[in-house]
Amino acid sequence: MLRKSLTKIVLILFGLEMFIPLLGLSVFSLKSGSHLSLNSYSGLLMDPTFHQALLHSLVISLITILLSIVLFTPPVWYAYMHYPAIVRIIEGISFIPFVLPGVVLGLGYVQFFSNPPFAWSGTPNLLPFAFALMGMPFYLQAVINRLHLVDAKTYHEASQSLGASPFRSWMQVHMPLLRPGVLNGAILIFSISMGEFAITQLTTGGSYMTLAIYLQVLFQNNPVQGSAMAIIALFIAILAVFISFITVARERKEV
Amino acid sequence: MLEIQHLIKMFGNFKATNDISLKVEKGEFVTILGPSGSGKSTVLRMIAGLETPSSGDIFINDKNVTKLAPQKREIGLVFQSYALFPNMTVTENIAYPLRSRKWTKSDISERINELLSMVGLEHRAAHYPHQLSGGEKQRVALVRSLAFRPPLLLLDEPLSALDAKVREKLRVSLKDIQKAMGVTTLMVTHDQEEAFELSDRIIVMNEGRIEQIGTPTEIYYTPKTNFTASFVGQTNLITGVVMQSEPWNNGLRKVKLNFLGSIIEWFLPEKEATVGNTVSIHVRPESFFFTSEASQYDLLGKVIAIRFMGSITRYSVDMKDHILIVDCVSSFRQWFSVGDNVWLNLQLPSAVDPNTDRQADIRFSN
Repeated sequence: MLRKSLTKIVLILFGLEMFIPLLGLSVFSLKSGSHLSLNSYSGLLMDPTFHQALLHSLVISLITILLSIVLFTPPVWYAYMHYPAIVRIIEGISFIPFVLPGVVLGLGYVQFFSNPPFAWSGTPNLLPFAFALMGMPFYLQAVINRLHLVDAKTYHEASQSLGASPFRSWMQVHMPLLRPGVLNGAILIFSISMGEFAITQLTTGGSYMTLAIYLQVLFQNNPVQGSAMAIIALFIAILAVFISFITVARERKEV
Repeated sequence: MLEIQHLIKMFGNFKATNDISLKVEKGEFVTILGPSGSGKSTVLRMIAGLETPSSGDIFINDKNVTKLAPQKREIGLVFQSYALFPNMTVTENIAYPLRSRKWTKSDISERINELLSMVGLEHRAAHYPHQLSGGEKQRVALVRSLAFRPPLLLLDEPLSALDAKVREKLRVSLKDIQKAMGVTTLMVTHDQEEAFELSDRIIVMNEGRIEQIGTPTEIYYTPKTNFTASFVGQTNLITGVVMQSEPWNNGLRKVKLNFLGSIIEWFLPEKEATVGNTVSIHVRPESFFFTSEASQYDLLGKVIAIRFMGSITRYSVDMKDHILIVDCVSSFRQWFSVGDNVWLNLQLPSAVDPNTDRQADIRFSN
């Protein structure tokens, strides 16, 4: 009984801790003089700079997702199938970006890509690479979890024993099996890419308008609209998490 | 049909299989029986091409396939976990090996219908694996592996993930399907009952080596090594001195052994049946029976435990600090209690019939 009550209290406190700042931000975003209105949201949605920032963020995020899928999926799959010991090393290495602050990564990129042949500093070209690196631990973990969950090695062997060529096996068995893991990882990468600020600011000097840069500028000039923007960003993140949950639930049911 | 010559597999310094040689004839159902870690699955995986042998050769229909890729070996393989592709329906799963072999649509459709009706799963054709029961999954896995008519079928603990009742039922249908299709089959299992019921021959493996190859009755009644004797079923190890020896048949002699002061009649190979020789024999628990009268051939003991096990009741009988295990058919069980003194007699190895070539129910060992 006591344990149940304590659990309830802890959960309520946790909920309040999460909810109160959001409530404050939401109320503040609706502030219009002495009354509440949706003016800040409508103003935001009408703003061409917001459209541009949203488009830029979406494009960069999608390129990052593609880059991550192409760069990370085949090696981790191959290692899992043929050299399982390497997967543990990959997992270990993949955690480095966790402990590496975005500022350090950004400065490193600026330093390395300031001179030809990769004089990309100040352009958005670096962003997908940087974001992919930042999201790598999440992406790899999603894919590795999926490989473990479906016992991919056995399916690989089953496919081989049934006479399928490696190409057919990859297209008809492995890709569909990996899809939920890839989708999960992609959603996490998407969330990171949509909200990343430090590296974007450092590598582009703030010249490339993404949602994060826009949010920062907005907060300086119009805090109410900035709050509305933060709520929209939060909504996008919640949507991503929701899709991720649905994917996980579906993949568990299928296996 | 299948021949393996001196197969060795090393994992680092660990020798998983040690000089394995065996032959499986066309249409035979052979089982590799052994405990976990005995190397039986490794042998199967090497035949399937999923592991590369460190040395040795594998022949299928006289063709050396040792270095052939798994997809080119034309072997049907059923996994313990079924390995049905979760993203495909039952029909798509069965069609998978056929599409890989470029069968026409009509041939594929015809073959799928034939196989599904064989295992009574026509109504499950459009279902996904997660919508099937364990037994249904196993049947789909079996027909998928047989769809392309492989000359050789490998079964890796195919029934171990099922509950006892389903397992029993599937055993029968597995044997029926194997017979109907005439496919040469090599199964790996640790389940003795499964091995005895399904197999034409059994290969007993332990620590990467073959202990014995023989028919189920040979393996059960004439184990050639102590491991086989103790691994396959229950045995009583009885050590006695040969008191008397007289000629019998099939290279055997009928002997009288002195076991703890009582006389046991048994059969031994001629080389062991020398008077004065101390020998050990393995006697199956069902070879003992209780008697009401004492004779020079009876053993006196005290019941120290009784276990009802369904069709049989198992007694532990203490005989001068030597515990004997005695199995009785429960329906004919005698209602002894723990602490009762009982007389035991030993059923002479009945299968050693001078009029036939059968040699069973005996065990020779020093």
